[in-house]
Amino acid sequence: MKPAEFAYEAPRSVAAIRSALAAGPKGARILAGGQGLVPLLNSRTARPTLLVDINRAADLGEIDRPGGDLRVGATVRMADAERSEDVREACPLLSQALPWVANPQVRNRATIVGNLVSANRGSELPAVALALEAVFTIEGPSGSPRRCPASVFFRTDGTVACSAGEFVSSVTFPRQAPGAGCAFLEAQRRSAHYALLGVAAALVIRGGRVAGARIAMAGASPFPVRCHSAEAMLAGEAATPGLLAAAAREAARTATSDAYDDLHATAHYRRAVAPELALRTLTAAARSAAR
Amino acid sequence: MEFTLNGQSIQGKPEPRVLLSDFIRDTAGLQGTKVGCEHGACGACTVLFDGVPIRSCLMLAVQAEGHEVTTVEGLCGGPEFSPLQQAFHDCHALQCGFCTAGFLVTLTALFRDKPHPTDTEISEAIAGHLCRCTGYVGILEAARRLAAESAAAG
Repeated sequence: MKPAEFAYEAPRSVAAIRSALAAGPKGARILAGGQGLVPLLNSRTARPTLLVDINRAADLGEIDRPGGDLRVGATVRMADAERSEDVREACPLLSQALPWVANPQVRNRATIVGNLVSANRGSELPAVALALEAVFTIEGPSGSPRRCPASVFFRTDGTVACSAGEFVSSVTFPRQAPGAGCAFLEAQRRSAHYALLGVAAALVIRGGRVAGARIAMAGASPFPVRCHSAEAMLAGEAATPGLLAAAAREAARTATSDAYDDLHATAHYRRAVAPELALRTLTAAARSAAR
Repeated sequence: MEFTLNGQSIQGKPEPRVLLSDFIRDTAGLQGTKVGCEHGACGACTVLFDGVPIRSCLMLAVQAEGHEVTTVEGLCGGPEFSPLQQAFHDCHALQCGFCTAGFLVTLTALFRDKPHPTDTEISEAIAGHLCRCTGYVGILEAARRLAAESAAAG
């Protein structure tokens, strides 16, 4: 099918985007990479009255490092982030997860922020943002941006904490501890599909003991889940195979509490696969951690 | 609205809702680019946008303003096949041809950036393309042959 009619604006600045959203009709949508939105337009699942195309706005296309952290602007393409030395250095977990998203042609156009805002339940990056405690910068009608942590941004109903008239101008990932071992693994029907189940893990190991653990899952429940209790089991302990297995079971148990059925997998499948996938991810993260 | 299509300037006044793929096919009249799924999965509509392979069905034509678009028609300078197209021909890498333009566009960009891609790099590059007749064996063989030829040529 083809998109229904809509009005179109391509503002050149953040202030002009704010004005376009404020002045625009109800039902305006932001167009960034379009890789999630345009399929919805084509199928007429989404029928916005106005598309505000932010691709021509200055200052939204940068990856920068405020205080060593990693800030990713709203129009930064996944493919550019994948190649970025800054991303590899500051957030190796994000680097590990990006190649799992969609396919190379889609990543050439798709944005990290757009993917996070869409918060698809099988999407990889929301789990990474949750694990790394990313913070969203949200612009709105007031003119002064607000900051929203990932733990609040991703709601359990599958929506995000960004209302009409607001838009995310950037997301900031705190710099990971140097030497953190990172892994992202997922079960998928075929390469380039959404995750049936995905696990993001980062382990900091000092003197043979876990000094910090970050674990989150995608596709386990209809929203990304941070596995706090599994992280707590690992904290301060030696990363033995037995402990990693116990933590993986705990992570799987908490993450799949709202496991769902869809066209591609049953909730039963997700619960069955989660402990093994979590174990493989934790094992890979532990192996790659600097000691 | 004006952009560069296969090296030539093209102008138009598409409605905002017109997809780049439809503008290329219906307004510019270049029908080598195919439209399959219209949600980014099949890869048939892939074109180079400022040199980078993207889905033309997931962009609005108005977004091309000021940019450079290359379709399968623009991949070789004249009536002769490019080495990649010749390899597709020699290795029976196509049957119905519907997916072929997309594969050629993506592989052209791959070979431009990495003249000697590994099998893994070839597979990763074409993961975003579906072919329902050759079963990929011929396509992979064509890409491997070109990689080997370019390696042999130095």
